[in-house]
Amino acid sequence: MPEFFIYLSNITIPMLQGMVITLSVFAVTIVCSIPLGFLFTLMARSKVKLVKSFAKGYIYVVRGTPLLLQIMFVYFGLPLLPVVGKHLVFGRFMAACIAFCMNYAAYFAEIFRGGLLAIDKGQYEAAKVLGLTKIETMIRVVIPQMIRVCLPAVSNETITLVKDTALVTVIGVAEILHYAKTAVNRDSDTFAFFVAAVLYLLINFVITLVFKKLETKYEF
Amino acid sequence: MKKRSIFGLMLVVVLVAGLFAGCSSNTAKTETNANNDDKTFVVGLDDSFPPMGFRDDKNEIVGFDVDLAKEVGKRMGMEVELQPINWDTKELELDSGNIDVIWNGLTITDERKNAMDFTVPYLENDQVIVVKKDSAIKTKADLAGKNIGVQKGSSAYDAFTADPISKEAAALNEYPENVSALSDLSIGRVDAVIVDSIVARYYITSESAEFVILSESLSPELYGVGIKKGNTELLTQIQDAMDAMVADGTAATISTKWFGEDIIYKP
Amino acid sequence: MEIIKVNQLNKSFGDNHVLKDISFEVKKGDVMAIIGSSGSGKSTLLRCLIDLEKADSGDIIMEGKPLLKDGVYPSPPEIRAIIMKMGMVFQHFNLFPHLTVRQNLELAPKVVKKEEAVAMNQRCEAYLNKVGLLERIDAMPSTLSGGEKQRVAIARALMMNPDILLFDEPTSALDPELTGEVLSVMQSLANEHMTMVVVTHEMSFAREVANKVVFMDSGTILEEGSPEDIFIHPKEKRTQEFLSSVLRDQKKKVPKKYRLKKYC
Repeated sequence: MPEFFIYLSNITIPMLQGMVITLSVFAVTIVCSIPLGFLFTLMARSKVKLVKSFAKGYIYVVRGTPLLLQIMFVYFGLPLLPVVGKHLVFGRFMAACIAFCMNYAAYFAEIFRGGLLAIDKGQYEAAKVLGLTKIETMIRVVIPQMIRVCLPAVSNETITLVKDTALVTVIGVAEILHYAKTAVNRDSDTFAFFVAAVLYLLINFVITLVFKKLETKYEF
Repeated sequence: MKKRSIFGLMLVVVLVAGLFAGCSSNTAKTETNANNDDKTFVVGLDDSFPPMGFRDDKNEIVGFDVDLAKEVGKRMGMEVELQPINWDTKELELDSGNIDVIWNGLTITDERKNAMDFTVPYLENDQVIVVKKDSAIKTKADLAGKNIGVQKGSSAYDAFTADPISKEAAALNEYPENVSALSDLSIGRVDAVIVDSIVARYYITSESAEFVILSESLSPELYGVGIKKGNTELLTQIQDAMDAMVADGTAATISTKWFGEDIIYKP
Repeated sequence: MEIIKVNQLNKSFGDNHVLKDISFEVKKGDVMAIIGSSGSGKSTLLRCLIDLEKADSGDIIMEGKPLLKDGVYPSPPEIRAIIMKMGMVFQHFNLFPHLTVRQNLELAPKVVKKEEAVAMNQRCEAYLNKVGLLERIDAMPSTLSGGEKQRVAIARALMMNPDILLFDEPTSALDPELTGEVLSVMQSLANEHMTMVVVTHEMSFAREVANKVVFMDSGTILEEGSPEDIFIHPKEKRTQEFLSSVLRDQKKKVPKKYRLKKYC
């Protein structure tokens, strides 16, 4: 029995190291892609045609291609672009983060667009006649209401994000699943995959808890 | 107001921690793009390919190719950096200069020669057929009408599909790694697995005697070290180092350590 | 001196010509009721006065400053300065559902005027007391009845010290029993000489609180005058038809005398 625990710790410790990377990519993506996504939402509503088309085109392209390809494009493809290529050489982790942020921003943009649609026009009018500027209206009146509407969808995306982080292995960034694979191949025993699954479940358990708390907090 | 500033602070902390943790991990140590950065020799490998390159119990990268590479690096006077990569994108990694060589049981094929340069071969390898001990399959011809398993994207796959027997096989199942293929062999979902003999021998010693390797094998092939096409300077350096290692017996020692005998290929 | 002067105002939504050469004046302290059937353009007119709709041509002069001159609007900051002196109460209340009653009232003074906290809190409590809802100061809007919500909305508008208050069918979305409390608050505001423009279907209010009534039909002002002129001696046929149909309906309603409850 004790050999089992020694073995378990042998395979789990590297996976925990990988978990640091998983959580890092996750954290950076969440923190950056949500504001970026909201920016795209606003751009897609802009009255300036160029801005609006750019935003809509971006959302279409990014949502329409696999994240896997986007990661490879940022890491391998960008440096090959003429003229600007040499300034776009990113390290592995950085490239992964960039690809993730750009990708999830597009999905969040659509979620927030739906959230904005759910806000009654009267809210904007009431704010206007009270003298609030557009920005003040957005910050004080619209966004707080939008959060409640968007939370379930955002929670969904967040959980998907945790699992998507496994894709970073395509450019050689080692996270949980990668170390599971090395253990499996070394020991020709698929047990490590189960441990990996447990680790992902643990992360998602915490996330689900956090979102439950958020939903109660923003209830009105 | 207080709540908001605490939240904002948390966000910044998370962001910085995330970036720091990621950047300081096994990846971006000397993330310069220069090939032949005079100090570092970046070896690209799949760290889940025993016995050539894999992670031991302490999660260190070890293996036959790893030992060879480290020795070569030492002789070239460079620091060796082991960079795990995704096997599917190895050519991209090589071409972009993120790694200097691919050194991981890399089979020399004509198609690959178009994409990269190789050293002189250092190891001979067959594609062998692995079956369960009590299997009725005894020769390659017996594979007709059977389910075959291979690792996807491997030279085992290429060798098998090139061989005429592949047309008579019932099905060809591809697996992300050899372990899964062997696992299915054990269950009975496939009747035989085609795999590098080097790899087969590693697994079959670590498993119980559940499997056997047929004596008849498919195409023999040779392992070499892959280098970006045109990088003759580095190629020469590596080749010289390897030749020296063969000459003075270091290579033989390493081989014995991993395979119990000297199986270095000498043309 | 007119506090509101509208001249030859026109507005179309596509092919639909909703306001046709509207002209009228409101003096300080006037309570003007705009009545008319649905689709006559009453709400659109009101919304043009506070820049929630852009008119196509004409003049709108507020307290001497042009909101619209010959169909041309001034710069946005100028517009904003003008409409800051006005307040509006909506048919559907439009309270901010994520804020408490107190926060609803204090949001604009805090953010727009950067008002100092203590004075602002006191004013908030005073206005809520005036509309009879001080005990609900920390409630969320979702827990209020329709009449309570509208009274909060009025208090919220008052917090910005407007010179003119616009009401867009303030009781139309309320159950009949609840209209009384809101009309009562409006009456007390009228007694304090607040300049008010009210689009309404409540004829008793128009008759007894307003000092000026305007009847609109199909985008034009068909008739205007004192309540006596309109209700007792209507000149136009359409006015007479409208009044008789509306008053007939309202007689059927439970006669809730809004005078019963006074909150001032």
